[in-house]
Amino acid sequence: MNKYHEIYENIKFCFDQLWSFKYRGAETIEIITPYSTTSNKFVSLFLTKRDDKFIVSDGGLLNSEAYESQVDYDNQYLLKILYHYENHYQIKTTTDKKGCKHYYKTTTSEILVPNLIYDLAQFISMCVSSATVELDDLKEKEEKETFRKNANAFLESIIDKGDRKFRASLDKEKYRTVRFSAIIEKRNRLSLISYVTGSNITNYSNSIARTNLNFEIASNSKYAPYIDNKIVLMNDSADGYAPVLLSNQINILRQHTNNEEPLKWSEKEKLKEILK
Amino acid sequence: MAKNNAEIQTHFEKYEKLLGGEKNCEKKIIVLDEIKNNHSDTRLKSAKVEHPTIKMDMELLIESKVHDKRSFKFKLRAKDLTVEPFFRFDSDGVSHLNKIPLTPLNELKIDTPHFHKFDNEGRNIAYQTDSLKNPTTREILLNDVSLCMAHYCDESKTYYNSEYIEIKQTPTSELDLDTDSFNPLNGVDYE
Repeated sequence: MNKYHEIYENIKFCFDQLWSFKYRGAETIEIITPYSTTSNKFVSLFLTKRDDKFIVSDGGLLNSEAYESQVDYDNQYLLKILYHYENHYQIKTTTDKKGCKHYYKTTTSEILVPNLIYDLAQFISMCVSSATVELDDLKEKEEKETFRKNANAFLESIIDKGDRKFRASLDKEKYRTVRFSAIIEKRNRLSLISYVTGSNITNYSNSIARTNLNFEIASNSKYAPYIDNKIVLMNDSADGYAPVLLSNQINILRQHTNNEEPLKWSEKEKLKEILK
Repeated sequence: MAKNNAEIQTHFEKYEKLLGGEKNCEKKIIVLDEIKNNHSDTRLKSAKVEHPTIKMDMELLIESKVHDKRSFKFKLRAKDLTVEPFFRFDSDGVSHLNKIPLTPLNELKIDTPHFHKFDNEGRNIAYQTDSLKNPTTREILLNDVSLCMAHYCDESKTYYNSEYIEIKQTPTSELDLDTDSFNPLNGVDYE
């Protein structure tokens, strides 16, 4: 026996300890495997015997998002990865009465049940972990788009068409990259409006930072004498809106808004008075 | 990939105070008479909760599977701290992997039923109390949602005027279904 044998025994012991089970009625057992996911869950599989066939199924857990990872079935990249695993492990699928997809494998040979467990556990682990990769931040995209549309629609209802520009820059040459959500121009006086939103606190904070930067540049530009209002319109119904945690960031915005509280979306009616 | 909760990591002292202080729930009896959005098989109800010193909107959320009375979740959430529930109980569901450094592999897996809280790095940590580890008391708790709630009340220090909160899984307007032990393969056709 060489000096590493004890470590090897401990490895086997620890791995073995990761297996556990639960009875699910008289006819089914849940096998909690040592295979895990990057969402920090262990793969559970369900074993039953019907007639002469052993069935190992995921019990619909992948499809019902029990592993806290959402499979985006519109994402072609992710689907390619999932189909690759499905083919490789030769996984079958069926749908239950609630429309939930079950992934499974079958065998008539009892000694091959471990093979099924091995294939299906690997498959579920890889699918769940692949689905947690942020291939596209769709939620954030949707959040920004929805708020932009709502805010634009509101401004359209209170400002004449000729006086407003959306997603506009101060000018198309020197300040091309300094874009505001809306610029209102009345009698050669400017009001700059910046929408602030985010699907989580980090994105919300980044949105505040971008607004600050753009207002800073505008304040130091040749247009500064013509700017009457720098307005921040904060989406206070966004998931990322956490005023207590973001109080420092929000306070910085005040230096651009004559020390007034940035305007919240729920108080948007005040814009009518400001932009009169 | 599961990420650490950055908000809790940053405001960990506040988090500990929030969890450690005796909180008061607005209701003694919570009747699960609503259905969760996009989850027609799950009942849901929330109740407002107040901390004695930290003024923050807080809620207790109760979820329960319609056809499986032993499957329920209790969650405490304070959106101004973090959108994620900051203290949770899962009666059933998949086992959790605690990503705690320098801990032997065989101690990292926590089966359900279990509680979830956060450590000072913002890591989501599942744990079982002695009552949940013991097969006899575990069965007693899982068979009575209000007993389980009482255990949650003590673990999370959330009460109704210092009394335990009670849960009614079936609203009075509906029939109380007698459900078997949950088997996800029931009624599913496999080739």
